[in-house]
Amino acid sequence: MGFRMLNETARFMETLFKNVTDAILVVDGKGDVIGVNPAFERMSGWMAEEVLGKKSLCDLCRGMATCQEESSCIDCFASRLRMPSFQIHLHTKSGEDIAVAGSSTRLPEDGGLGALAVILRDNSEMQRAERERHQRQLTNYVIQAQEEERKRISRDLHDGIGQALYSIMVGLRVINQLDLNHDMRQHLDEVQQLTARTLEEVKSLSVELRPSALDDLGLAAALRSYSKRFEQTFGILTTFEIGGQRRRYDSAVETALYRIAQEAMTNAAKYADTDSITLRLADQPDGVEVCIEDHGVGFDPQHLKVQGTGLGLYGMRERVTLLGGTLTIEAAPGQGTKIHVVVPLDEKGGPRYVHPIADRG
Amino acid sequence: MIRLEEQIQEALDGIRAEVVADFLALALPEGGGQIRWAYASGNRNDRFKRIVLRPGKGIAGRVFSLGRPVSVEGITPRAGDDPREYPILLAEGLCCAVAVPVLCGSRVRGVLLMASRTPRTFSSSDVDAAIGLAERLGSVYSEV
Ligand SMILES: Nc1ncnc2c1ncn2[C@@H]1O[C@H](COP(=O)(O)OP(=O)(O)OP(=O)(O)O)[C@@H](O)[C@H]1O
Ligand SMILES: [Mg+2]
Repeated sequence: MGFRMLNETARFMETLFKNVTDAILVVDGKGDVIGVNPAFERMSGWMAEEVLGKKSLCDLCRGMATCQEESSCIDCFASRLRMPSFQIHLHTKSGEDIAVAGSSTRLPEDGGLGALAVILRDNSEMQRAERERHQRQLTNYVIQAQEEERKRISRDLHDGIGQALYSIMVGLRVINQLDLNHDMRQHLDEVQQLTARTLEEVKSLSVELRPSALDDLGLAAALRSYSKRFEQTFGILTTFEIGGQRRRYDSAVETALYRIAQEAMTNAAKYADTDSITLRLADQPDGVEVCIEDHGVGFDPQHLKVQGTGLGLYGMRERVTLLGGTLTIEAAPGQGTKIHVVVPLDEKGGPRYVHPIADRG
Repeated sequence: MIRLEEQIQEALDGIRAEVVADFLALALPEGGGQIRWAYASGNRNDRFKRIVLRPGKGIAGRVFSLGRPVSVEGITPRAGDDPREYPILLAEGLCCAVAVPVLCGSRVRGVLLMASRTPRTFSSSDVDAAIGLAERLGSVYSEV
């Protein structure tokens, strides 16, 4: 380009080189390091004197991350005149290999290979956020797909098999009114009882998969009948309390709160060894709260991560986060367990701070 | 009728002492058709009274619909499992159980459960004692 640097310009360039937040690494035609800026020192932990003339590019770069491979030297950026965007693993002084984004340019030189300027930027925070967002999206998708599937099977059971069994029962009742001998009547009675019991079973299965009350009558009704079934299943005295106004919420909110209560109560049945449990649903002008409390053996919520247990609490948290709400666990060994969920709502009963991806179902 | 109830309770207590089991209980259908634990021996609380059994579900429920004994060992709540499979064990803190049907002819009239709070394999003579009691109960109920 043939312009001569004025003195001021040279100083300016040096200031720039020193102060930019991007790390700059310059290697010569043979690949030996000939220049690094302070940002590079901070990123890699290597001081300039430790690398200048002492290390080569390949000592510092542990390969490029491509979509096929974690670390690869195929099509190395150093073999190109310029590469505007790639990712490499930088070998730091502390021995770690960190993933950083880079761009590279081969500086022009007459007769021979010019120096290679590599600019590096630590994107790990951005990548972590991206991964988290992706994971949340996936979780949301799985939760919704599971719910849809349950809804469909529940409806098929109820309206399909259930309805057919009901028709069979009506038919049997008609036959029972005919003039039958003792033996036949006895057989028929048994078949009638069996059919009635099977119908009951199909109905319970359908309700357990997903109660239609959740769609037809709302969260309060669904929780009330769940509490009753829970008490009958486990013999745990279950108190259901409703506070505030009775109103319907967004279907995503109702489903999530129902599943959370169900999981928390199932946990209490499994682990708490308790005689009684209280389920509370409280409507507030700006939100809704659900609280599940038992007086059983309790546990140490801090200790869970170490143990690496089931998915229940994790799923509860995910569901609440997707609705922009909060979940708190108050528990201690010997002190019982209290799970408290708050979801802020708008006037229409929809989540107020929907997680940006929650409605991208 | 009071006499019969006392006799059944005594029989349960008797077998429990004989096989040195922690817990024995008898489930029977009530008037409305709901099946409940009507008698228990060795219980530590009253949760069992509130449990309604479902035919086909859980250990006792399976005995009801299959009409044959079912036994389990080493049951403790674990991640991923469904506690509706063993509500009576949770209520009483039991881990090992044998459940046998009370039969009237080919019809299941009730379920007799014999269980332990500590690891134990019930011997065949223990199981025979339970089956013996179930048979006696069966003949009592076919007369009623
Ligand atoms: N109400 C409770 N009382 C006592 N301990 C509890 C209670 N709720 C949860 N825990 C403890 O917290 C742990 C984690 O619960 P979580 O629901 O995440 O897993 P899990 O129930 O074991 O498995 P999964 O829900 O996947 O079937 C349990 O293993 C249990 O030790
Ligand atoms: Mg759980």
